[in-house]
Amino acid sequence: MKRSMDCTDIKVLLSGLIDDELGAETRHLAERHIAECRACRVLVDEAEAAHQLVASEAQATVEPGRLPEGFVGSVLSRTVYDEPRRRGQAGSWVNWLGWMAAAACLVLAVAIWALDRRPLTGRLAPGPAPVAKAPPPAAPNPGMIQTAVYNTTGRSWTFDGELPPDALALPGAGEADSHAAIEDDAGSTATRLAGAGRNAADSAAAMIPLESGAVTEDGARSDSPAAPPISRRDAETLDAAALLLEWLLAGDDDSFADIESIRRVAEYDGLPTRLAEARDRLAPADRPAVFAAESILWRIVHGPLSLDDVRDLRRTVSESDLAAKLEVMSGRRESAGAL
Amino acid sequence: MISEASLRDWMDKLGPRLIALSAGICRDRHQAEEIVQEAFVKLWRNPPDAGEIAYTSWLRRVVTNSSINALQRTRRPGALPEFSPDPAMRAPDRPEHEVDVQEDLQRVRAAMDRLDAPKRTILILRAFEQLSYEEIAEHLNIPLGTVMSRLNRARAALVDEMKREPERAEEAPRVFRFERYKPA
Repeated sequence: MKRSMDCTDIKVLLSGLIDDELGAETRHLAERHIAECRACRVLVDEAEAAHQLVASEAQATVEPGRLPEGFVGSVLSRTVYDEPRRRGQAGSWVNWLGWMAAAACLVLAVAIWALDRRPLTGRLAPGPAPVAKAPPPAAPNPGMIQTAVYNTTGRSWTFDGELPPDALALPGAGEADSHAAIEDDAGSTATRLAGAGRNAADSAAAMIPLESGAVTEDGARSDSPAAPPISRRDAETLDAAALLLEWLLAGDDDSFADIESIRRVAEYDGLPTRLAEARDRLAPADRPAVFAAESILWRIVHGPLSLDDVRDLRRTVSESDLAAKLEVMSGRRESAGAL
Repeated sequence: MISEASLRDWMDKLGPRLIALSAGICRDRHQAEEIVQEAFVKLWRNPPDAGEIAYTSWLRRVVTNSSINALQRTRRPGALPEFSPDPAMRAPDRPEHEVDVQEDLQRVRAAMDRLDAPKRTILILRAFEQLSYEEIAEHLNIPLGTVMSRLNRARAALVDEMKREPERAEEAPRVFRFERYKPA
């Protein structure tokens, strides 16, 4: 029966303590430990002071209640005052497009009329091809071409002259190589294994790639069986589950206050379902631990639980070192992209 | 469509706070002003469907995301203005206290500069914006449990950074006295 807390519990519950997010019983136990433990008292004082200073530091970047000079004018010039001009531009675009469409229709109608005026035999029987003189299409070197004739039957241009040798060269030669180089860079993923310093069994269960390049954004599986990548979402799910299991371990045996808090968080995050989804994507060696966590959180969310049940769950988590395993699995990944 | 008067009201009401939020994350005051201006332009052009009730959270989310993006784009050291004394932290009976507070603010600023973006963002959202855990989870689109664990790690990292010896010689090498801020 847990009637007291140790320093590890305080570290786990530190933010909840400062932000007043703990149940009354847990808070009471935490405060009792802090009153007796100087190290934990310093820890809490430091975190509270840092919390206060962060707010002051952010506030100190602006003069409270006053916008910088020119701020309002700049926004208004791009919104309210800019609207008539934007509307005018849009109107002129509409007008311009309308005229273009009308002109295109006219050209098309004239072309159809001109084709229909040709004699029927001329269109069906191959006879001497009528030719028409016309200016050539965009020529690479007009100086080398004297005339160009469009053959209306063969639908081709004949040039009276020579094209320069590079006129047909395709632009952008060599780009394929650079694309290949980019793909090579993106395809190479460096991985490192988590679990250093833990026992061999845990390390084996925690062979999770930690580098950002090895973690897929969409949860896709890796081709490598030794170090399957873990998606950001799955890492966060495991991390959140680990924290709740640590909370369960630190909770009070004689009260449901912590269980209720854990239930609230697990239900809000849909953790049992998310763990089940994550489990399918993880390596087979990792799945038992995730399944165990999933079952425990499912029981907490759906209940009913007696205090004896809670003690059993707590014992299971403690004996199997479940929270630590999930924590290692999650890789504690945190980067700018995680936001 | 938002009227000019309404846009002005929202800028007066939220502008300074949003600039502080953005500067807290991207560590550049001028960039923060541009980000917040852009957010108001977006608000005017495409306001949220839910109406005025959603403006605050919508603007906060746009500013947070833009600040993080700006940070990832530039990665240059912050250009924040000098501190003006925070009236809330003044102690009239102890003039030396204000000097100490200024030093502490410099120290926390240097420590915040060294934190990574996720830690800095969550600290700002909790300490400055005073969002609840649920609001932070919704704001950053992360699980509630992640909010708690990330806050724990962010606070621990910030305290560690504040305890570090100053890198510049002109900074006074003294022990940071956290107990000064302990509530009475």
